[in-house]
Amino acid sequence: MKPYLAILIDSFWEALGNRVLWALLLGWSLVLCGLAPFGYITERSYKLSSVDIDNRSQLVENLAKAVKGQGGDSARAVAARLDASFIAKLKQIVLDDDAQRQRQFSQSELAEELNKVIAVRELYSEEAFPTAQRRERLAPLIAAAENASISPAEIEELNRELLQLAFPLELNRPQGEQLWVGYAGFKIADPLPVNRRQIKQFFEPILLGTIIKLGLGILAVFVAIVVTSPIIPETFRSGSLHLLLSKPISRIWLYLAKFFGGCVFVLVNITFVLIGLYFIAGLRFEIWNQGLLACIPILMFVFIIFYSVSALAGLIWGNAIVSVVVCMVFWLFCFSIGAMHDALLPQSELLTQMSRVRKVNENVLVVNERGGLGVWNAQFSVWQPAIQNEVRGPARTFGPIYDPKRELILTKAFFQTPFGGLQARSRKLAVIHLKPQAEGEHADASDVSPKTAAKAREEPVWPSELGPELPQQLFDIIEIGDTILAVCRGGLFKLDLDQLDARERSKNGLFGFKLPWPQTNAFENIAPRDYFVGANTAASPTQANDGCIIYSSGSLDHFALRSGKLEIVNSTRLDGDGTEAALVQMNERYCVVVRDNQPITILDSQLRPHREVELPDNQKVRQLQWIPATQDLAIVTHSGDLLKLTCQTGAVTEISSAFAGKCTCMHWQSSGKVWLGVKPSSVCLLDVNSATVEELYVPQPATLEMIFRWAVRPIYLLNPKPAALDTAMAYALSGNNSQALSLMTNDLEAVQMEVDIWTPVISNLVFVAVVLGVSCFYVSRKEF
Amino acid sequence: MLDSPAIDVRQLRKAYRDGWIFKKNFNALQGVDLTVHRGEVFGLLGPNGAGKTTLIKILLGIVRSSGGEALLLGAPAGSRSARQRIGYLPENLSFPAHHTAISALQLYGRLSRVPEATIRAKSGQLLEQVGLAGRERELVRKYSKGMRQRLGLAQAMLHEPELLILDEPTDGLDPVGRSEIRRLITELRAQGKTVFLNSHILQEVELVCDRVAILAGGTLRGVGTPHELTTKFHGALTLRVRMELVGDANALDQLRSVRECEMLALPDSKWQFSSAADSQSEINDLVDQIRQLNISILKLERTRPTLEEVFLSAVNSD
Repeated sequence: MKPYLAILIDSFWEALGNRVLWALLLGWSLVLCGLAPFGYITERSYKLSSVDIDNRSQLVENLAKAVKGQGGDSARAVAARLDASFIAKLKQIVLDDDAQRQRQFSQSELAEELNKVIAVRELYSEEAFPTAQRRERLAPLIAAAENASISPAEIEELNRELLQLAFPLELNRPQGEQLWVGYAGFKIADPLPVNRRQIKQFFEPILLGTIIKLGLGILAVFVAIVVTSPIIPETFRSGSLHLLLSKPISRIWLYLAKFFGGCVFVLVNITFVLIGLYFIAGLRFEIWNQGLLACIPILMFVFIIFYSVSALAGLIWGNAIVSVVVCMVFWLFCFSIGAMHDALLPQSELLTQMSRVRKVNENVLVVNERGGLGVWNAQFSVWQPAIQNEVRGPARTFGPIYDPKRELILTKAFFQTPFGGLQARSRKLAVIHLKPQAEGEHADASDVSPKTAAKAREEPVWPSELGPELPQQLFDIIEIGDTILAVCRGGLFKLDLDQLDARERSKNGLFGFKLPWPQTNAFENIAPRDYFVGANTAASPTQANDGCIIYSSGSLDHFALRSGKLEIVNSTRLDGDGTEAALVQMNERYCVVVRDNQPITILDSQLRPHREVELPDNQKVRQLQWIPATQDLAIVTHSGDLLKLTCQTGAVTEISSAFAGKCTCMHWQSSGKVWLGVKPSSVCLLDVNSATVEELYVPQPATLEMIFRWAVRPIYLLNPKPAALDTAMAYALSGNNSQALSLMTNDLEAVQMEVDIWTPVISNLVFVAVVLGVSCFYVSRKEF
Repeated sequence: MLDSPAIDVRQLRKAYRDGWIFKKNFNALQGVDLTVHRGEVFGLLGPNGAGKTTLIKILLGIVRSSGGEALLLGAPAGSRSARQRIGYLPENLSFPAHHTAISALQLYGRLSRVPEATIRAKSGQLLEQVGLAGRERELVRKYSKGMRQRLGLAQAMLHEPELLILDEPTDGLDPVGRSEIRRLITELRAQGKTVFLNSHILQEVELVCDRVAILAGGTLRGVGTPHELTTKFHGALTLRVRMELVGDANALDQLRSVRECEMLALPDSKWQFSSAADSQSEINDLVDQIRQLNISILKLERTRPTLEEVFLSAVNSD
C-alpha cells in the first residue's frame, strides 16, 4: 500500500476512533429522530379556517349589513342561515367603527360561525346566487342538490363555493384540501395558508437552505474545526513527528495526507446528517431533493477552506487553541467583507436596474426596481426623478401609462414586502401633467435644470398629483388601447379618465369659483358579474388591443372589450395548482403563458394547447413582449439575455447585441428597434437588424455605487468567500440560476439575484490552493 | 556503497537562529567529524545541549546542516534512500492514541514500504522479541512508557534496517527491561546490523558499545573504545589515598603544585587524595612524594577509572 494512502486510512480510523465524532453522531441522530415525526397532514375539506379569512373587518361589516337586510342577495342568503346568537351580535355592530368590527370577532370565531352555514342543506337558491349555475364546478353540485342526491361532502363543497360568491374579497379561494404541519400524527396549529407547491418553493431553497446553512454550514463546521484543530499540531509534535519524518516519505505529502484525513471526520458527519435529512424530507414531506446530497461536497469545501487556515495556524504555532482563534478571526474577516458586499449589492446593482423604459415626448422615461420613475438629464448624465419617490426598497411599479390626449402620465409604486405583499402610504395613482397647468408651472423636463449632479439625482422634474384611489388588491394595470384597466381581486376596473378631467375643471374653477372635486369612484368594474381573480394573477392586453388575456388561479380567460365591457371569448384551465406567479401575452394567433418553474406554454387563439418550450440553460423569464408586426415573442431573461421565441416552431434564438447577459427590460418601438434596460442602470435604443446602438444613456454612478464598484467589489472578489458557497447550495437545492429578493416569488418581473456559483468556487479554490501551498512550503522548510 | 561507513560525518556544522527581530545565532555543532563503521554498536555521549539530538536530526534529515557533509550508508543524510534503510527510535516516543501495537506496526511498516505479508509475518515475532506478546491488541494509550518504548523498538526493526538509530532506548524501562534491550542490541550486532546509540546511562553504553564518542559544546571531544578514551582523558589507573597531615600545613598545597589531583577534606584533619596515573612506577613516585612531605598514609587504593569519570574529564577538558 502507498504510504500516503496508509496515512489517509489511518486518519480515517483516527476520526472513527474519536469520541467527539460519536458524540456528535449521537447528537445528530437525536436531532434527526426529533425531526422525523414532522410531516404533512392533508384532509379533503371545504371548511373554513382562520387563514381563509382575508379581510376580517370587511367580512364583519358585510355580514352586519346582511343581517340588517342590506347588501347583496347572496350575502343576505348566508346571513339568514347564521346562528341566532351570532346574528344578535352582528346586529350590535356599529358599521362606521372599524376598530369595533376588528375587536368584536376573531378570525377563528368568524370561521367557526361560517362553518355552521357550510353544513346546512338549503343555502343555495337561484335568486340569491344567479351566476352559480354558470360555473363549471358548481353546476353538477347544484343539480345533485336539486335532485336531493347530494352527499354531505358535496354540500360542504357547494356551500363553500357559494360563500366565496357571497364574500369574494373577504375570503380566500377554497382549495378543497387543508394542509397542516403535523408531528407524530398530531396537527400543529391552524391549517397552512399555502399549498404543497408553495411549501416546496419555500422549503427547498429557503427553509432547507437555512437549516443546512446554519446547522451544518456554521455550527457543524465550527464544531468540526474545534475537533480537528489538534490533528495537525499533534502530528507535528516532536514525539510522533520525528518517527514519521524518519520514514521514507515526503513531508509535504505527509501534511496533505493528514490534512485530508482530518476532512474525513467532517465528511462522515455531514454525510450522515444530509442523508438523514434527505430521507426525512422525502418520506415525510414528499420532497425528494437530490440537491441535498449535492450539498455534501459543497459543505466539505466550506470546511476545507476553514480547515486550511486552521491547519496552517496549527503548523506555525503548534497549538490547537491558537488554530481555532485564527480560524475565527478569518471567519470574522470574511463575514465582514461578505456582509458589506451583500448589504450594498441590492442598493448599488440590483435595485438600480430598470424594469420599464419608454420614450414620451422626447423624454426617456425609466422605472427602476426601487419604484423610482426617472427622466434622463443630459446635462449631468443622471436619471433625475420624475416625481417624488415614496418607496425606498424593492418595489413593484404599475405604469408609467401615458395618455397622449390629455398629456398625462399615470403611475403607482408599491413597496414589496419580503413575503411579496404590496404596501404604500396611499392607494392613489400618481398623476403627472406634461402640459402646463397654470402660469409659472414647468411641464417639460428640459425646463428644469438643477445646479449639480447631486441635486439632479434628488430633485423631481415634475410635481405630481394624487389621482383616483386604486381598487383593493391590485395585481396589474394594463392599457387596452385608450382603456386603462386595473386588474384587482374584485374584478377588472376601467379608469374613467373623464373623472380626471372633471377634477382639473374643479381645480381651475368656474367664473372664479372653485368647484368641489367629485367624490365618485373613478374605477368601474367592467368584468362579467361575479368574475374575481385569485392571487398571483397575470394580465396583459392582446396585441391587437381589442381585449386582454388573464391568467388567474389556473384559469386562462380571453376577454374582448365590447361597448366598454369585457366579455369572455375563450376560457381554459391549465395544469398545476394555479398559484404560481405568471406572465401572459396574446396575439391573434397565439397565447403564451409563463409560470414560475414551469416550461413556457404556447396555446392557439382558441386557447388550445399548441406546444411547450423550455428555455436554454434553465433560464427564467423576466419580461415578455410581442415583437411588433411579427408572430414572435421577445423575452428578457433573469440572466440578462434577450431572446426571440418563434411561437409556430417553438424555436428560441438569441437576439444578438452588445448587451447579452445585461438586459433588464425592453420596450419594442417597432419590429426593428427596441429600448433596452441595461445593467446596472443604463438604457439604450437598439437596432436589432444591424445590432447597433442608436441611443445610449449611461448615468454617472452615485457615490454609493462608486464605493461598491471600486472598493467593496474588488476586495470581495479577491477575498475568499466561504459564505458565498450558500449560493451553490441554493442552486443545488432549488435548481434555479437566479433567486428572488423576496422569500416568495409572486412577481416574475421583479429583479432576481443571479446565482453565481463559479466565482465563489474559483476564488475559494484559489484561496485553498494558496493556503495549502504556503503550508506545504512551510512544512518543507521548517526544522522541527 | 557496501564498503562505505554506516555513518560518515565530515566537518558538520549547525547554527540555529533565534528571535523574531534581533536574530541570535547558536552553534549547536561546530565542525564534527565522525565515522561509524558497519556492524558496530556505537555510543554517543554528551551532556544536555551538547548537540547530540541535532546530530541525529541532521542524520535523519529533520533539520538541515549549516555546513559540512553527512552520509548515511553512503547516501546523503536525510535522503529518501538513506531513510529507507534506517530504523529510528526517537526519544519521548508517542503513538496516536487510536492504535494498538499491531495497527501501529502495520502503519509504520506501510510507511517504510514493507509488503503487507511481511508486516503480518513479522509483527508477532517482533512483539514477542520486545516482550509485548499477549498485549498486542490493547490500545497503546493504555501502555506504560516502557511498553511504548518496546513497541518503538519493534517498529524500528520491522523493515530490517541496516542501521538503527536509538535515542535513549532504555528510557523509562525497569532494570529487567534494560537488560532485555541490551540483549537485543547484542543480537542485532550479531546479525551484522549497525547500532547508533544515544544514551545518558553511561554504564549501559560501556556494557554494549564497541566504540564511543563524546560530544560537548558542539565539538567532538573524543572517539574510540572505552579503554582508549580512558587512557586519553584520565590515565589507565586511579590512585586514591586517605591521609593525615602531621607536619607542615603547606604540605597539601605543595602536593597540589606537583601533581594534578582532586583533594577531599575528611573529619579530624584527614584528607582524601585522588589522581590518575598511567603506570605502577608513576604510582610509586607519587607515594614517595607524599611521604617526603611528611604526610601519613592511612589507606592506599589503586582502581581503574569508570566511563563516567572519563566522560566528566572529557567534558571538563576545555
